[in-house]
Amino acid sequence: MSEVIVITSGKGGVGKTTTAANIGIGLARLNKKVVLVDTDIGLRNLDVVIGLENRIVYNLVDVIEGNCRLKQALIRDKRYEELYLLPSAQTRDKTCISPEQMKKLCGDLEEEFDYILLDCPAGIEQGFKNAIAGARKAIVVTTPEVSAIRDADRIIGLLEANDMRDNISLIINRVRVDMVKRGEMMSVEDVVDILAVDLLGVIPDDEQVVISTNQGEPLAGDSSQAGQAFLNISRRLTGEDVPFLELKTKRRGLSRFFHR
Amino acid sequence: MGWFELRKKKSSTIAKDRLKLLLVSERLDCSPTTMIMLKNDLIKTISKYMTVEEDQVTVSISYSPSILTAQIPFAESHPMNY
Repeated sequence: MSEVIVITSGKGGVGKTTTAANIGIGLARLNKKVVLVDTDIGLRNLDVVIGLENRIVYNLVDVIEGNCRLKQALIRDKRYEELYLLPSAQTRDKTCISPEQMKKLCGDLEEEFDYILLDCPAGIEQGFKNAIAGARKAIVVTTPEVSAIRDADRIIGLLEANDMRDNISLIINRVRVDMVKRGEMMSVEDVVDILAVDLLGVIPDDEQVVISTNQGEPLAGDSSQAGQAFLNISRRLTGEDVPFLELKTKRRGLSRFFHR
Repeated sequence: MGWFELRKKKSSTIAKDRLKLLLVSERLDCSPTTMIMLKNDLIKTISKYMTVEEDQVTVSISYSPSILTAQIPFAESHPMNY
């Protein structure tokens, strides 16, 4: 049984694409067959985050319009045998596809893959509606900031209105433990309390994320704190019961953490 | 609230308080001003029949289950308090 999961946030710049890429790679490392779908038509991004930008021939819109077969547009990642990317179109806009077409595409992908991860564009307009149309689960990404949480709340409301009430989980990104300790950043508990949805994972603010994005090599599963946190999220998605990492403040470049 | 009091409150607490107020009004599609008007109307209506402690009236909303709760204490002079 395959899973169609949309990764969304409302607000832009909170780390949707990075999260999608890393969860995808995490799942591929766990030997799941995964396709990452970039649904942000006009603002293609996922390809550069996973370093596949030079291999794009066809895209999502080509598939939907019948300019190519689905298999021709899927790019296989050479580093992870089980990971594929369906890139977005760069020269078109969100109105060129409909929610019904996305639903059909997701249905076709379900025949081939264990996990279909849909990277959603920012906003609540057409692009968002397209992205959630074929999804049965949603992951909402937020950061511990007032604006991001407000938008996450709005998105959760819209997802609930689209029959996903029991299938919404939360990822809190860019948590700075030092600031939480000083009382200058909302804690994980605060955010979960406000949004009242299940917590799927917490990603610490880690400069390795920027470095890995520079290189086009997502870090899920490496030794960094963020890499571990992303892999744990992928494991939780497969049904494994993984305890949350206790994030530690960095001291003189030494990152220390341990399981609770 | 004075400047010193603001300084004492940690910014994470301020953020949380601001968000809670904001989200209540947004989820209800009802602004904080509307909430205050609702509260005042409730006080006005109840006061027609009994004396209440106006300063201590609270109106709050919870989500699951979604309930509007109003706490309207009687005034000390009210016969209930004798």
